[in-house]
Amino acid sequence: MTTAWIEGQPVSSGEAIREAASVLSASRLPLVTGYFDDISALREAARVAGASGGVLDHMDLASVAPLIEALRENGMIRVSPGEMRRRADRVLVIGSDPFAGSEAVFEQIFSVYPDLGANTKGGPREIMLLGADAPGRFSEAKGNVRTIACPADELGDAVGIVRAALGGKPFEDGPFEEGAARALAGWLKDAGFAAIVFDASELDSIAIEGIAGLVADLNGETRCSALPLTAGSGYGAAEAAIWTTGFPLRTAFGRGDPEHDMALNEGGRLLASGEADAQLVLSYDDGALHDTGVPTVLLSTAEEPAGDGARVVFRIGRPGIDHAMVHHEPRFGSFVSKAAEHSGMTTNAADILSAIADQLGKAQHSNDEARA
Amino acid sequence: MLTRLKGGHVVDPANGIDEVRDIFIEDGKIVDAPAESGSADEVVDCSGMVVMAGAIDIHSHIAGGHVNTARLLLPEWHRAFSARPGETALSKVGWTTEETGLRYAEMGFTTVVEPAMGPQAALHAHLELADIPIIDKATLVVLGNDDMLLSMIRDGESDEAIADYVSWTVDASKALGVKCINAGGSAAFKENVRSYAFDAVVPDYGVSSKQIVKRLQKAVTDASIPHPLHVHCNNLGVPGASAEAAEATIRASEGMPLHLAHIQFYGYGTEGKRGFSSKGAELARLINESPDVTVDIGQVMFGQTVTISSDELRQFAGRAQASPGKTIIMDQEANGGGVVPMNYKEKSFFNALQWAIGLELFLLIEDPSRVFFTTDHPNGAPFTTYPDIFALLMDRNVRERWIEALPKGVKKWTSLPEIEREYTLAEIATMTRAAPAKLLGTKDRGHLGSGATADISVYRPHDDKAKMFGAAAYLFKDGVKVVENGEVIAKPYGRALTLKTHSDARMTSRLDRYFDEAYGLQSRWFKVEGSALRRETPFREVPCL
Repeated sequence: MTTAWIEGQPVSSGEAIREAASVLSASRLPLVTGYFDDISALREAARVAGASGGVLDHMDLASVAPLIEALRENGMIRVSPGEMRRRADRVLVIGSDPFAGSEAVFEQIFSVYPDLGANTKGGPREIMLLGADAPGRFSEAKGNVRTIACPADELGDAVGIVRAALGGKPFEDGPFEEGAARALAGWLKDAGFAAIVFDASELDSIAIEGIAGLVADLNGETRCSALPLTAGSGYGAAEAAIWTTGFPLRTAFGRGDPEHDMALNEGGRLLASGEADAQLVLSYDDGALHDTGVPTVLLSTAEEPAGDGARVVFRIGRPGIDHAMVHHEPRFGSFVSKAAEHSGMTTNAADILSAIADQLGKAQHSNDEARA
Repeated sequence: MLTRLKGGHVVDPANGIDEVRDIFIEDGKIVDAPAESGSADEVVDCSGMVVMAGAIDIHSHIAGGHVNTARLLLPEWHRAFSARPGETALSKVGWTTEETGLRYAEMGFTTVVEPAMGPQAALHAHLELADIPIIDKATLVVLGNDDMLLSMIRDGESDEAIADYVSWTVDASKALGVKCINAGGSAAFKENVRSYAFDAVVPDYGVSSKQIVKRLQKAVTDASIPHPLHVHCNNLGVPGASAEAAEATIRASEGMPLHLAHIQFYGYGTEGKRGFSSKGAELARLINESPDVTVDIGQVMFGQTVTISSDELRQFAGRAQASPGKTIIMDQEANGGGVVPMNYKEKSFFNALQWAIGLELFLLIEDPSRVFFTTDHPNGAPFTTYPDIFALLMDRNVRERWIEALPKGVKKWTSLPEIEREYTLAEIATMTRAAPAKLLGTKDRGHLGSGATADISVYRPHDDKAKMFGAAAYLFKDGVKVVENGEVIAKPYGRALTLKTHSDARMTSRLDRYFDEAYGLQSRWFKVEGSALRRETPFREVPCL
């Protein structure tokens, strides 16, 4: 079975690996990007980006970038879903449907009543939906649900107003009237353990910082903690990039030390501007590769990878199905490993990336020797 | 291949050796001298140099969720992030797993223990450890604020059941020992308790901190885990209450082995107009009188750093001192934790006295096999400050120069200027090699006897001990030369040291049910599989007692 192609022609994986390394090392600034559901692939991709002097990004980082920026600019008091399930007697849910894409977390938290804590256990959970017109999926939640209408683009303002109300500070009219803001602030303050949940991809970093500020203020006297929801693999990939490179992706290695910049090193921008003149893409879907006009190395799970325009193509196994994987599990708030569902013949992307990184390292070494 | 380290001054207190002699290495182990010493395939001239076993750090936060959160929170100290990077202590550490291994190796360290791995962050911690080159690693798994243990104690479960639970957790998380951090404090904080002490009771469980520590201490012993329970006491850093907590914990140990972490942070009294004074001498006296107790220091050094702790209550309280003013606090199953940036200033009376208290404890605790060399990295200071601390311990003149630079009021409140002791090379080797290996139960290291793992550091003597210990002349890891003249020349991957503890199968099925029913989690998620780490030999097993 063919698993590697150069210019559409079947080749051995060794030839394809050498060619991939050659494409990347010939580039002034190669972009290494993709979805990185498997953290093992991300760890090896970081080596590829480092050894090729490229940029490491994730195709869905935009959905978690505001959260990352808010966390590092401002900080946050956060809660894990498991602890929230057992302890949060009052939950403020921000947004029209923040659990879309995080259904398992919804099920984990809202299928039971809180059962821990002298002040929190025993009764039904009280749930307030801010920014939802109807309970929606919360009609299935165990607890008493109420809704407060608020336009999606005014959620940040709403949080600011609740925070002002909590602190006894003056505020102008906002998405809801003054009495409701004060009532909501009081409701949070009187909780045994309040939690505020939001979809990190729905809010900008200023709004997320506002939520963190509200949570911090509440903890002056009572307990409250925030749960940002992050669907997809962006957050886990960012975590792994932090330990391997020091930064949550969008990191360039062209000038020796890793350099991180959320705006400058955004993959799409680098390709559009022409700064990135080659790319390596890890893809888990069958969709065609966007023609970026730069030499491309594609790792794809598609049966017949749609490598139109890609110089080098590798067919890879599906993580967690064809081979074991490590991924960030939101219910656990950390990494877990998942065994393969069957033993397939397809290759693990991490192994290919590792071989490309090794090949780049060898080339680097022989160049150094030649210079010496 | 036989390698001969020729003619070095071998300082190997575990084997009573302090003399010029050769050391031979073959297949990654130290071997007896062959009949013909000239038969070695490779000879490394160590004449005029000091040869010791590779150094062991028993308490350094180098991996896991909280450490990674600190990296996220503080990009500004990464060398390449700021336009004009400052020469801060943290800028030297580097912020990646790779740099962690390189910096430790350059100083001659070969084994480092990450001392606070939450059971839930075990795979995360091991993934990071797997990416740290050269050194061997180990972890202590954190218990003592978890609902399971607190419920077991409340419900009067047997010592056997608790030991079973501890064994399951150590085995699942691939740990080398157990740590208990402000026992019950995080659980109490979730109930909005803001002040908590050794005899205080966790609401809703009716279980005291003391009960938790004692039951865990017993369970660790019953599970035949070599390293005694590693305790982070209550009220860390609180003047008066910290010293009371350490004293109460030591007295409650009642002859059973116990290790107290970063004891410096508990050496605080309340005297003087600032309400902050040294209890260093009193604490050292108590430790000297308690032969079953070991401690590490958690020395404070001046400069920017960040505190990383699973003591959620303490980190929450510490938010007021955050510099820069941003923190991340985590409410999680069990301990949670927090990351709080800290800038220890030489000109601050409080920080200067913290520095002095650490050194008092180092110098007044008499037995170097019961006091361990740590900064609680990065909580007291980054581990890259170690060379300066070696100099402070080994050279009284260096101490005098540092003391002169402190605010004038500090001298009045510390006995440090009067302390004449200077650590000898043999004492340094005891504190950083022989004793840690014994404490951890890792008999294959910490010494240079035949059969030991060939982890060997070679130093070029220098009047400036910081220079001597800052850059190893050579470092051998498993017999491979990895450092030469303070620079890394090879980057093999080490392993994580683990224990094989045994628990009853009924505990496994009980925990399967418990994690699912209580938290909606799968118990298999807590288990670290070596294959997930992508290293040829991810683990090396250490025998239980």
